[in-house]
Amino acid sequence: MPTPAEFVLLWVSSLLTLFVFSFLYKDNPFYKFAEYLYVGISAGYYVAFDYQNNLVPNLWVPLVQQGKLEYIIAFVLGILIITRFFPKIAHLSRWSLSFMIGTVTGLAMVVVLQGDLIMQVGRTILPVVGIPDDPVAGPGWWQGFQNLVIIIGVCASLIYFYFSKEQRGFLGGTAKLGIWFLMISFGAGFGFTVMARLSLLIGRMDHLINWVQKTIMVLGWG
Amino acid sequence: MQRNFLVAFTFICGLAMIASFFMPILQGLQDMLSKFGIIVISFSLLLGMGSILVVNVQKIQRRHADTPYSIVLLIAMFVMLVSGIVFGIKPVESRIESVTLETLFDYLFQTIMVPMSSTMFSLLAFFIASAAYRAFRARTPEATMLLVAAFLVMLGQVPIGNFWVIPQIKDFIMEVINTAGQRAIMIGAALGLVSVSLRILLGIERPYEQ
Amino acid sequence: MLDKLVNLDRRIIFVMVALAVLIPLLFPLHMPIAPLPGGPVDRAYQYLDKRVPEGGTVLMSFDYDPATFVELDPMAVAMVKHCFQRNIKVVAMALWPQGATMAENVFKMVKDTSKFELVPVDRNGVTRSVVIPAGKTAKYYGKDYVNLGYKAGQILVIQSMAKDLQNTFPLDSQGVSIKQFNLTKNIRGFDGFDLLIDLSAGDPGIPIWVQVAATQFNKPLIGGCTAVSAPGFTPYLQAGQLKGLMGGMRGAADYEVLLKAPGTASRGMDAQSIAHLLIIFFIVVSNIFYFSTRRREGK
Repeated sequence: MPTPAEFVLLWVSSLLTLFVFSFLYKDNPFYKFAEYLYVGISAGYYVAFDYQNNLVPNLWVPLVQQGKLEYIIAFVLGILIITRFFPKIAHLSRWSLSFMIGTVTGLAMVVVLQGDLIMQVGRTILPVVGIPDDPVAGPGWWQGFQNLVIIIGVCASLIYFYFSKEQRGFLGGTAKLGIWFLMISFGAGFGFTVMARLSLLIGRMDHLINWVQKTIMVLGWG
Repeated sequence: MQRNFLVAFTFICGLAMIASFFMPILQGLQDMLSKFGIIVISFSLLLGMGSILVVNVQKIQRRHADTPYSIVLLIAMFVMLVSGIVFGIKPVESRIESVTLETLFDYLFQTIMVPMSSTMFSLLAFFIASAAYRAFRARTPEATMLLVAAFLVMLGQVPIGNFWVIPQIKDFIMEVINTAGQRAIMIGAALGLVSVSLRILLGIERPYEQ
Repeated sequence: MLDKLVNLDRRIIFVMVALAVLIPLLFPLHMPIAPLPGGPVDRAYQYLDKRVPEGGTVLMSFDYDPATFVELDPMAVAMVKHCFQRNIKVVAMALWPQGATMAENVFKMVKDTSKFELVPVDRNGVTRSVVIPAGKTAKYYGKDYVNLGYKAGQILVIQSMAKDLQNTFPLDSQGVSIKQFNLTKNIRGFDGFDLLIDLSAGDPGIPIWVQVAATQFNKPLIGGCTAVSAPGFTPYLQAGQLKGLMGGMRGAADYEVLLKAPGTASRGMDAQSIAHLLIIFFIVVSNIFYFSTRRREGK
C-alpha cells in the first residue's frame, strides 16, 4: 500500500504523463503547461547538479581548501564564458571557447584515429581460410564466409563514398554493391529504432497501469 | 590581432594534448588541461540556464500569449535550483514517508522529470507507426531491400519471431552485413573528423568566433 | 474505400498502437525469451560471470537520462545483481547529469527486487544502522558499492580518471570524500578495475569509452545501449573493443533470462512482440494499397 506522499506523487506524475499524451489529439494548454514545467525543472536540475558535482569538488575544494593556485586559471576561463551575456565584453568569451575547442579537438583527434580508424581498418583484415571450427562461432568455412562478406562489404561501402572519380564500370558496380550493404544497415537501424520507441511507450503504459491499480487498491475497490 | 592570438591559443592547447600522447613528460600538462576543461564546461552549463531565463523574462515583459507558461517555467526552475543548491541533492529512500526540504530536489526529479522525459520520447512510437503506414513505400529495389531487412530484424528481435531460422538471419544481418556498412561509415566519419580537427587547430576554421 | 484507407486518420493508428501495447501488458502471453548462445548479450554475461574474479571491482558508467530508463535500467539492475551475487564491488559514475540519480534509482531497485539489502551512509560517510531483514544479504555503501556522481567534461573526464581517479572524483555523489571509503580510497585509475561497463543513451557514451578506455588503455569494456544506437556499435563488438553488447529492451531481457532473474524487460517483451507485428502489418498493408492505387491510376 503506498504512503499518502507516494500516492499524491503517483497521481501528479501520471497526470503529467496524460497531459503530454494529449498532444496526440492536438496541441492544447495542458500539454503546453507540462512542456514549460519540464523545461524549467530540467534547467534547474542541470545547474544544481553541476554546482554540487562539478564546481564544488573540482574548483572550490582544490582552489580554496587545498590552496592549489593554478586553478585560478580555470576559474578565470570559466568566468570569461559568462561574459557572453554582456555584449560589450562578450568577445572575451572567445578565449574560453578557444581553450575548450583546442583541448577537446586535440584529444579527440588522437583517440578517434586510434579507436575508430586504425583499429577498425586493422580488424577488417580477417582470415577467410584455414579457420578452426568453434563450438559457438560455427564451422571454419562459415566463419571464413562471414569474414569475406565483411571485407567485401567494408570495401564496397567505402568505394560508394569515393566521389573523386566517376562511378562507372568496376567502380560503379562496386559502389552499387556498397549501396546494398548500406541499405541493409539502414533497414536494421530502422528496425532497432522502432523497437526503441516502442520500448519507451511500453514503459509509460506500465506506469499508467500501475497508477490505476494502486488507485483501485487505495480506494478499496479491488 | 586578437584573432591571431586566439588561433595560436587554440593551436597550443590542441598541440599540448596531442604531444602528450607521444611525450610522457607532458602527461602532467594533459591531466591539468583535462581538469581545467571539466571546470570550463561546468561554467558553460550556466549559459544555458541564463538563456532560458532571458528569453522567458522578455516574454513576460512583452505580455506574450505564453506569459502564464513562462511564469510556471521560471518558478519551477527557481524551486529546483534553490532546493538543489541550498538543501542538497540527497536521493530519497525507498519508502517516501513525507516530502522534506532536504529531499525536495529528488522528489521533483522523480515526479516530474522522470515521467515527462520518457513520455516526451514515447510519443515518437505513435509517430513512427503513423509514418510506417503513410510514408514507407517500396518504390525502388534499394528501398525494398531496406524494408525486408527491417522486417527480419524487427521479427528476430522479439520472442514471437523465435521460429525457423529468423533469429539466425537477424544475427547474420546485424553481425556481418550491418557491421560492414557501419564500419565504412565509422571510417569515413573518422577521416572527416581528423580533417575538421586539423582545420580548427590550424586556424582555417574558427568556430569560437561565432 | 481504398482512398479512405490510404488516407486513414492518424488518430486511429495511434489508438491501434496504444491497444497493441496495452492489451499484452494487461493479459501477458508469457512468450519464451531465448538468448542467442554466443551472441552479444551472452558474451557480456559470460565475461562478467567467468572473467571477473570474485571480489573484483567493476566501474559502471550511467550515461543516460530518464527518457531511456525503460531500456537501460533493467540492464543496470541485472548487472548490479550479477555483481553482488559474485561478490564483485560496483563503483558507479555518470557522464550525464541525470545519470547519477539513475544510478541511485538502480541501487534502490536492486534492494527492492533481490535478496540484497543495500545499507547507505549519512552525509558524513558513516554507515547507517539498519536492521537487515531475514533472508537478505547486506551490501554496504563504501565497501561493496559507491556512487561517484556526475562529472561534466565527457572525454576529458575519462582521460583524467584513467590515471587519477582521486582528483577527478574527489567527492562521491553526496559530497563525502572518496578517501573515506575502503572501496575507493586506494583506486588510482583504471588499473583498479577488472571491468568497465558503460550504459549509454547517446553522446557522451560508448564511442568515447571505446576510444579512450578500451583502445588507449586496453581495459575490457562491456556496453549497454538503447536499441537506436545498437546497430552502430557492432563494429566495436566485431573488433573486440567491446567484450559484449546489450541493445535495448531485448538485450536487457536476454540478460535477465541468463541471470535467471526476470524483471521489467522480460515483462515488456510480449507487448514488444505484438507492437512489432502491428508495425510490419502497417507497412505491408500500406504498400499493398499504394501499389493498388498506382495500378488503378495506370489503367
